[in-house]
Amino acid sequence: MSVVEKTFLGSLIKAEYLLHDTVIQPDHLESERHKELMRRMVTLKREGRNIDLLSFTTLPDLESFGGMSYLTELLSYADIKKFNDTETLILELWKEREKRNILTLAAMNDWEIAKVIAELDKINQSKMEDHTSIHQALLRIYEAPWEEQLHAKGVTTGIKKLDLMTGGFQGGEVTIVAGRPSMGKTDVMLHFAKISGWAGFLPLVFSLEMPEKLITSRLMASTGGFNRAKMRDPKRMLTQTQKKKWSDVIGDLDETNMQIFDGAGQTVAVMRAKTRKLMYEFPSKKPVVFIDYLTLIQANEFYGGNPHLQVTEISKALKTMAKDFDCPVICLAQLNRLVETRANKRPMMSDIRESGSVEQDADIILFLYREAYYDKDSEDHSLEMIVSKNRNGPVGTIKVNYNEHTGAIEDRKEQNSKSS
Amino acid sequence: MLVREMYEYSFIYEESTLAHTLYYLLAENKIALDDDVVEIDLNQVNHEKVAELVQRNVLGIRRIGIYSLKMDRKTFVFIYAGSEGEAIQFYRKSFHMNPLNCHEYLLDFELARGNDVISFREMRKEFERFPVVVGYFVKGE
Repeated sequence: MSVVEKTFLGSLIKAEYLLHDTVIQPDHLESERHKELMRRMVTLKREGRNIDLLSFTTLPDLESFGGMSYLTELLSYADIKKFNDTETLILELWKEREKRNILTLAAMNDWEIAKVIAELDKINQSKMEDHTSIHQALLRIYEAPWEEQLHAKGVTTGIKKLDLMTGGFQGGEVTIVAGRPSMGKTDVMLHFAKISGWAGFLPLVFSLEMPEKLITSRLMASTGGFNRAKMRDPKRMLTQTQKKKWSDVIGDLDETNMQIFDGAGQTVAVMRAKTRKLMYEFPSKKPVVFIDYLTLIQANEFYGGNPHLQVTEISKALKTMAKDFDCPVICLAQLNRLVETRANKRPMMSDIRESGSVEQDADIILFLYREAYYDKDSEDHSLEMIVSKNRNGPVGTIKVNYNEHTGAIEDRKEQNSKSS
Repeated sequence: MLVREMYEYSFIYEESTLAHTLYYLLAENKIALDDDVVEIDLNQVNHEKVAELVQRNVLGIRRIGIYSLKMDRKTFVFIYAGSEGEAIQFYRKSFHMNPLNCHEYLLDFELARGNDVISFREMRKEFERFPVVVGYFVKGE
């Protein structure tokens, strides 16, 4: 009885929501006992009962599953973070078995080549749900010119022009927000997170850099318009009117339903596991994943310490996560120092740290640039968002107002905001 | 501690009698999963019924312990088995002689293996069939 199957079943018992979205069918498992066990889980689930350890005690023929001893053993194998890998492994093992079976049968019964191929193809069908024929695809858009366009439901960014340009954050897309240190990356991310929360989405903020406390205080400052310096000691430094506002701001922020994870060195697999869990907890809300920031994510492999390959792996994993969960992923990234050496310090795509694969995998790349960052005397308090890659739309620059003291970001009043 | 937790622990530590007692009480609706364990009134237990449940092993708790069997003055053989008798019998079958003595060991006993320590409880997962010879210990080596 393979360890993989034990891990799989153990994870199912430990986190029953996984049973919902696993691609594995009971028949994919090798051992008869495991098949039967998984079938029982499915039935229990269908009857609306829990599938934890204790509900198994009510089964009449426990002995045939190896009894509670065996079930507790299964539970000790559970590893939810590796659930995706476990699934893949089981599918592979199953395919291997089926292949052998078919080939033996074919040899014994002297099948024709075409039949052997057709049978082998059938094995692969378990992974065929990503298939759309052009036929179906065309049917879907047949009436498009005459129908009111169901506005592509992107997550609003809270910045009108950016929404127009990108259509908001789309499910399955990875957005990279890059800028030099203290350019306002985290503030922009928190702004997006807040707005998406108020728009009814579920913002999941993976803050690998900042602890949750700092994030909360930044959120309070930017939402309430409090000076960030005052947040260090709100009791003494806030004015009476600001204090009156305090609880309202808390009420507003509470409505965002934001979920913050501030563990350091998380891997994409860990984030996937957490996202999946929250998707189950908030079934009616669509998640939006925010990550601060790219190079802090831990790669699965060390690659001999080569950061280039590590980032390549991470950026691929982010894209797969976005596609698998059909949710937008917004990830912050650092720029390398080369920007500073140029006369025009507006960043370009090649400035993203570590890897060219980030440029390829991201659907939208936003660069942040502030004039005042370099020219301390400048009166220009705008933050430029340079859309330098946009897979499904135009590129360009958008200026927003940025308040350095509070971290608040808002649309610019219509004026001469057109730029190159 | 809640009944629920105690019930789970009884499975983890394979305490058959305790698990079946709780099973009986739960089945008879005399306690609920979310009660505190201090509320359990053991006078309500029908010991004959519980004994029967244990005998039939309704919950399928199969305790596999670790036994140390003395081979000669220096050598000890460790065997995973369901009971002392089973361990001795398996020893006879494997080595064609009688062990000098047989003691049950603690499952949570940790031993060094490679760069790590592992308990007998953890190591048990590596075996599919019981009884099985785990290894030898030679004194003074």
